[in-house]
Amino acid sequence: MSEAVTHAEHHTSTGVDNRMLMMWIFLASECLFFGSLISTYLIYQGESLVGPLPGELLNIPITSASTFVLLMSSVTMVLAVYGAQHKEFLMMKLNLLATIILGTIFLGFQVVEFTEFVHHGLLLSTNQFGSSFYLLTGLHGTHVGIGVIYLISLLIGSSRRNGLGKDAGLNLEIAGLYWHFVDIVWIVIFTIIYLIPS
Amino acid sequence: MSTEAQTTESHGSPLTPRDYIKIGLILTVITIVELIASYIELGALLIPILIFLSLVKFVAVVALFMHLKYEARILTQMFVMGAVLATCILIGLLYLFRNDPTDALGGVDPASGGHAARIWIGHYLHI
Amino acid sequence: MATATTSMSQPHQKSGVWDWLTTVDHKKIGVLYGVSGFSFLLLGGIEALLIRTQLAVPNGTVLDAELYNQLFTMHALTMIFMAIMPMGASFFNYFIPLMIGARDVAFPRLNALSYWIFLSGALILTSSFIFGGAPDGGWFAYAPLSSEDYAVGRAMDFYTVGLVVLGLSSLMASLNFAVTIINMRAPGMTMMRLPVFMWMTIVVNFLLILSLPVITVALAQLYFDRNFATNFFSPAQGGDPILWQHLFWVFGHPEVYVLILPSMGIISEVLPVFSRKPLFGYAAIVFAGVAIAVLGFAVWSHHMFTTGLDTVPKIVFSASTMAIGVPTGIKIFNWLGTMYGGQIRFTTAMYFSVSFIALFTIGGISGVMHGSPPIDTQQQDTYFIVAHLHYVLFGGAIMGIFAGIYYWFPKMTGRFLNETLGKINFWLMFIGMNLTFFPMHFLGLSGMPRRVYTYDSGFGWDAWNMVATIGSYILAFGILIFLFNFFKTMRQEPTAGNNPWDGATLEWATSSPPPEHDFDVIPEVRDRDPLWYDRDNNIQQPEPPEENHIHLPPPSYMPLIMGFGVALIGIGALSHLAMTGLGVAVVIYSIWGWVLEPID
Repeated sequence: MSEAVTHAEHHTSTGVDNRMLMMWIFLASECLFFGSLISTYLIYQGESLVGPLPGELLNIPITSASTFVLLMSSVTMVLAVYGAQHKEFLMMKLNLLATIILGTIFLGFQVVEFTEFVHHGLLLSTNQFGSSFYLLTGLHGTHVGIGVIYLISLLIGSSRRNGLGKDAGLNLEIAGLYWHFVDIVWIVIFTIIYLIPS
Repeated sequence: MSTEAQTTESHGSPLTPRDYIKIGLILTVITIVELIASYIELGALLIPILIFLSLVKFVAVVALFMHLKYEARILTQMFVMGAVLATCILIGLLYLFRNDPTDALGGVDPASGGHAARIWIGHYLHI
Repeated sequence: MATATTSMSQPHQKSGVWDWLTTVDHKKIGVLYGVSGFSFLLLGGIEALLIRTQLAVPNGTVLDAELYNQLFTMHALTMIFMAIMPMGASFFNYFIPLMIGARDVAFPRLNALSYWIFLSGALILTSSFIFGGAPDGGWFAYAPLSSEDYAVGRAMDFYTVGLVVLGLSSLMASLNFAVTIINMRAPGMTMMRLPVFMWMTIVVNFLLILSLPVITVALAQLYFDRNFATNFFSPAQGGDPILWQHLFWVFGHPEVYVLILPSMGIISEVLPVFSRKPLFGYAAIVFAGVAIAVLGFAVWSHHMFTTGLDTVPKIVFSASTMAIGVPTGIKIFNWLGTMYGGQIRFTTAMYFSVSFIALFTIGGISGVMHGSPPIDTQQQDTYFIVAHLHYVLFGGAIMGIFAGIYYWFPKMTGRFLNETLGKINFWLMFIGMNLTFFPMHFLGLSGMPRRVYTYDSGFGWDAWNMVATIGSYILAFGILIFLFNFFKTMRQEPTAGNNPWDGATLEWATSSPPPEHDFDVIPEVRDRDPLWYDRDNNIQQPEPPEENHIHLPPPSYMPLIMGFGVALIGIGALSHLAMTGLGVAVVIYSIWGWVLEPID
């Protein structure tokens, strides 16, 4: 008897769950997505014909704080996954909630930063810095936002009677992969845009 | 590769919550180091140091938080494929734009607004 | 037999329109892709006939310049994204589970979603004709011609939005197929026992997974340039139009391998069966396919030799382009080696497959010529390139697809396409194709530029243009014969058994057409050509058990609804933000429904 339906503990040729495999392959494609955006940013570094320029606007201390926040959200995420895998659901829920809050704080930092920049005269259309910066960090922020919604859905799902079911560990783990990836993209962005002098 | 394998939920992860917090602290320290490094005068060493430290963070999160070190090899292959290709294309594009002879057309001085000498990776690698 | 469990909120009809709208069965989804793809092939063909009619004589008056530009742009977009790729997807969908011994793909609802998003994107892009004009900047949409200054109106926004939606569909499908082939193979089906068509499929999927994100970024940048005044490609503000070309071709070149590899896989299946010989050099063909994919990411600037590249890049890209001819050549020799010494059966499918080898080789030779920058400087933007691309895409991809159609028709429908009509179809297509495209080599070498809506007399181009147009009509007539063959055949009763061609691969181990659950018993694989091995070693497949409780995923409304939501988002990007908001709401609703509906 064979099952065409996908659920945990079914046979696969590699021993890896289908959804897990798909998430990793999807993350490989996301490397290309952010790689193209980062390439564009680097190509246009120094090409702005008018200001404001990165040196005037980028606030490294504040962005270091937001980077720290996102980094901590990865810690809470991995703890949430641990909780789900070891059926310690209180640990899972608390850390999931913490991740959501930290992720939202990060988005808050982004909103504040964008607003600051706009007040200083940097729009999408102002110069090459504006175009490439806002597109790159905006799309990254969108990914974080989708991640936050994803995690909120899991948190809501976990408070149902059956919780997240027998796949809880896997579901959290896959969400964690997405979340950590969004974090490591930020690590790259932080280094390239903020830390390395243009 | 045709062996049927049962998927398992918890992959016997040797990492405990304490380990994860420790790793988180190390990542924080590295970030602080990067922050300090970006302010002190390191000259040509700055960029390699920053890239190296970021790479350490990147690999730590992928291998440990995302568990890749303990997973089936196929997953590492999939991710590395994407990451390596993206990096190669990035380097290729930067090189192509660094060495763009069309910037000097029309009497425009490349140093004033063209691509030459401004792309840090090309500048740094002297290509 | 198979049972499908259902619930109140899910559709439960087994026939009719709703069945097709809510199906998650890979075979039905394959048919949906196939019918859609073929319909768009006809549309793209009509666009081509209009072009050829305009160019039949100098100073033609059939089309004005503006409409001509829309037609050659849409002809390419239609053929690439709405005909060849979906027809490839049709075969992937239908045959991946059958060839690897699975019962469906890894994610059946995602599979259905891919189709509905494809349809949304195709309709959005094609509808541009009636909403102010179709994109007219060429399928490659070079900046700054694509900018809001030069491309006034919404045509180029239909381009960006349409392609992003189509790309989303392809990405989802590719992820699904990649996971399926890697993870759901039958017992004994090692990677090196996979049919070559499966290898080509998985390579194509990875090409798409890795290249689509790049063009998505480029399309987003173009959309932002046109609508939000960014400066990615406009020189006046510091942008560089060449960036578009680079990002486009980093996707665009792997894309052409996406177009050809499925057909290479198809003929790798057809040739052995009708030579009654196993494929020659299986490992070499597999590795050559992988090598083509890897190298395919390293050649993109050969489309840009005339843009002012520096010398070193030109040398590098020329070398990599020449290199990519090697694995292709390996395949050609292996296909010839397959036929050599075989007992050839001259079926229509075999005709198409053999002609693939010849025609693709011609296209490959002109391609190698373009790979040399000094020669390309002469050939770029002339009809010589048009000749090259049509030899590889028509003589290659399309002929391969027709081989697949004739080969797998009995499996999919239980009926045989008429062989006499098939041969007529073949010869008309073959002769028509060569008459249309071979003269274009001469036209190109004597200087006729591409993408011109008309030409003056006196350049020596008149005669060959007329020949090419006549050829295109012969070709079109051949397609009509195929359609006649198709409809005539579908009116007959199904008569095909499991394995009418004596094929070697697993799809021939089940009935024609297969039951909904594909296999009564999942086969066990002992060899690369499983059915030939079992036949030669007298191995019987086990009998199906008396009671076969096979759970198939139930049909679902959610992919259809989500596809509709994505369509709304796309339409909103072309009109009002409110529409986008509505689309997002529909998508969120469908995600909620998707996650919560039972699939057991």
